[in-house]
Amino acid sequence: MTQDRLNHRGNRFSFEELLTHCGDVSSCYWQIAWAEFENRYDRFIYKKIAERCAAMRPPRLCLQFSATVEDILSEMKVTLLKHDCRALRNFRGKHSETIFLAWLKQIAHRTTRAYLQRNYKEYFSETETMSLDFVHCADQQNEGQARREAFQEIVASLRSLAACNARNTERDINIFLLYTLSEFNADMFMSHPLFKRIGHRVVDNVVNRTRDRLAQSSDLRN
Amino acid sequence: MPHRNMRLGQAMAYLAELSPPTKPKGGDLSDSKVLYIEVLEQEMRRIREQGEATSIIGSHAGSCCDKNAGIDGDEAFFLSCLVVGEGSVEQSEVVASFMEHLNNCYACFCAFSEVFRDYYQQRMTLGDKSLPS
Ligand SMILES: [Zn+2]
Ligand SMILES: [Zn+2]
Repeated sequence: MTQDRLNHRGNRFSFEELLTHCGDVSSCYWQIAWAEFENRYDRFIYKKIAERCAAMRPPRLCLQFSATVEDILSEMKVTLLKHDCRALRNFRGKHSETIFLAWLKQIAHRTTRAYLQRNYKEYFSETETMSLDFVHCADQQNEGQARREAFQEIVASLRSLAACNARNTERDINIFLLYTLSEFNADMFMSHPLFKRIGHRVVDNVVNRTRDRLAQSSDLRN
Repeated sequence: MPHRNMRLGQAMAYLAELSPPTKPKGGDLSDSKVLYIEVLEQEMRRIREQGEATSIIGSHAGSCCDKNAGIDGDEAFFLSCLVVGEGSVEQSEVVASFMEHLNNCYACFCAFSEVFRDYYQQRMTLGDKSLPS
């Protein structure tokens, strides 16, 4: 199953394999899988933490901004590695990198808030204490929340990327959402009264084109 | 009139099978399920004959269901999708506008996915030969 050659993005593992190996400390690929994980997602996580720090703007933060972000990043890693990587093992959206990114973003934001509240006590009120429990229970509510966020982000990104006056923009976004978030396959589209006349080819094209577009946009990946 | 043991998408799969519409040939179906399918079939025929499919879908078009009711549980809406899918009705504009609502509204998106997932799975179970293999 694991390829020895690198695929076109320079990755050794498919997304699903990567998560499986990262979540399995007994896997002989565990270490290289984590190295690849950092390669693929550290920049994304870093950016989400930095955004959150910038948004919360505690007064002294600007003096040590990047050191703080690095700190939060390693704190988040600790969370992910806790209990033999239970969070990754329990993560149920393994079929979808988009859901995974939304989930990572959620953890990055919460870790950042928890960190800033702890280190800038005088600035933040005690009323809200952030809990990171949700990372480990992976219950349906959080999965639902990550899916909802992924849904909204995909729609917003694709609308902003669409050429103006493009025909079928909304239809294509919808096809992509059904494909990524609801796991519709080609046969399901072909049996669907509103999509069957579009044809198999078009559905494939829409999915591939949209995926490339999202990958190129900085919104979800950088 | 939702049925306790049969989901809308599943019943719709029987409707798609019955062309021309006849009584469901399900010896394995309980009487109440057969009744449910028949009621839906009558409603679908009414929508087809009155030419209402487009306007029913149109009532969910464009804006988010903050203003309109959502599609969840709206049998007439889903039956209208089937009617439009039969191909005799022009679908483009209204459907495009409905897609916009779906992209704005996570709740309706979920309802839409679920009904048509049930629909597809039931049609596979029925061994529908008109489906691509
Ligand atoms: Zn809605
Ligand atoms: Zn809505």
